[in-house]
Amino acid sequence: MIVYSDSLFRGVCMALLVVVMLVTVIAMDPLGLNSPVGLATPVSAQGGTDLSGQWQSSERSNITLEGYPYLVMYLDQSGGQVTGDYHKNLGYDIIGGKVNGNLFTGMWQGGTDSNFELTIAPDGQSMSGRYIAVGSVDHKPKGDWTSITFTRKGAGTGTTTGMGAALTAESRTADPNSTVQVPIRLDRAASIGSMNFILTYNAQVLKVNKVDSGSLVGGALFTPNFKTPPQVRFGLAGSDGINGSGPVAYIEFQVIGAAGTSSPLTLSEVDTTDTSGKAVTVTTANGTVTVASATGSGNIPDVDGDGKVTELDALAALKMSVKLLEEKLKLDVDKNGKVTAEDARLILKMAVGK
Amino acid sequence: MKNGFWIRTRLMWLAIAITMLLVLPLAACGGAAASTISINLSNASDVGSLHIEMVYDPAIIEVTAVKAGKLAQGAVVDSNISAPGRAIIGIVNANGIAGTGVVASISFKAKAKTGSCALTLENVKAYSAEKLQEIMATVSAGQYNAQSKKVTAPSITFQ
Repeated sequence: MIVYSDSLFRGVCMALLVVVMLVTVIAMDPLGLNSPVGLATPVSAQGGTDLSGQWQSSERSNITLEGYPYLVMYLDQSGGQVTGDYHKNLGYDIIGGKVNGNLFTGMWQGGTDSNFELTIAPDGQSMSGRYIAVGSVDHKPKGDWTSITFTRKGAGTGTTTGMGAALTAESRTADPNSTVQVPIRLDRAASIGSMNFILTYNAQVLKVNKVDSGSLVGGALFTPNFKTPPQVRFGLAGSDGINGSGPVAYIEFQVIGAAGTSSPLTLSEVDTTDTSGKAVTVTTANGTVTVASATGSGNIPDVDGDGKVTELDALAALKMSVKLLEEKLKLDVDKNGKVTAEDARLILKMAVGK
Repeated sequence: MKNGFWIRTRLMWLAIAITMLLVLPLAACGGAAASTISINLSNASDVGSLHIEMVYDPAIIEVTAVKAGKLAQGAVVDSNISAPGRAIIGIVNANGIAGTGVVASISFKAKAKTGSCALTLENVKAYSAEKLQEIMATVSAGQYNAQSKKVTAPSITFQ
């Protein structure tokens, strides 16, 4: 009787332990899969309205290296919140701020943390104000206020403002005799059913190798025609409608112009309808391909010529290291004469601001 | 004598059960479950590079480390967590990331016992490994609740 009771009690305790351990293991989430249930409403990864874009600092003239945007803010605005990067030399500071009326205030953090106050000009093409260095821990002012002005980079070209749909030919810098891939972006698209447009370039500087559809196009029909230089004609059509922001096309150019030359990328004859056949107004912003000077081409490891060091540049270096891409020594960050996986690692560090 | 052994055995089993009952759930709730934020990818295909910035309230949590998730095995991953309130993650994989799962795990320490903070993803940019072209993605914010220590994971969905 005693043996029976003891076994029964031991069994109950064991069962209790097993249950507790099972519950614990499940609660500890060993696969690291926190439940995504109840997530917020999805938002576009590429937001941005008023201040979104590139802003050139008035302090650029103090920088001796040429050809690259060493003092440029890259901003993304969503509602009143603004985030972005302030690129300085090979690194960049992180920007966080708010827009209230015509006042843009916030902080950039990284090398030297600073608070800033900027007043946005009525035409939205410049911001003027001041900044002051602050402690990285206590955020208390250190030193004096300094005046600064930012001008929208390529005002009138390469940027779009407002809330309607906008078609943008991005700007790129490329080496002589190289290839460069230029995206054509459509921002704030809403149920776009069809679209035709023309991009004109300087055939003395660029030659089209190929044209790809961008990821925004999705399953819609996409037909380019680049057989009649210096124009590329585009046609898009889809019954589901194109929505959101992103690239609609990529044009790969062969650079045939000499260093120092450039080609405008001009968008024209944009005819757009929504899925009901109603005409849609789309604003345009033109871009430029600048053929880099020999001295300016190797200063930062920016292979796609967008003026920024990003994960894409690290990816290109990694592919070059295994001969999946033609080697470009501007990505040879450690200067050992070749592009290796180590260069990819170093470029990735730059891309995350280390 | 036999009766004493019986009582001692029962007491021993009871003590073990109570200890496990108390200690293991505490370890689960106060430790691993609430100290890691997983960033999930859905429907990834040929993702060669990925830039992610997770914005959080530094008064609620402190990010201590970033590790590659299962989906980023074989990728080069780096991060910058020096600016409180923002964790920047860069991921590169020349073969392209494909599938659905955790791409990065962010370890953090709780700094508050009450309140909650959004875990917002910003400046997310992905490029294809094959063509080096931008891939469209949508992001969903996550959340951390300091009181319940519950984490809702932020996620990135590819089209």
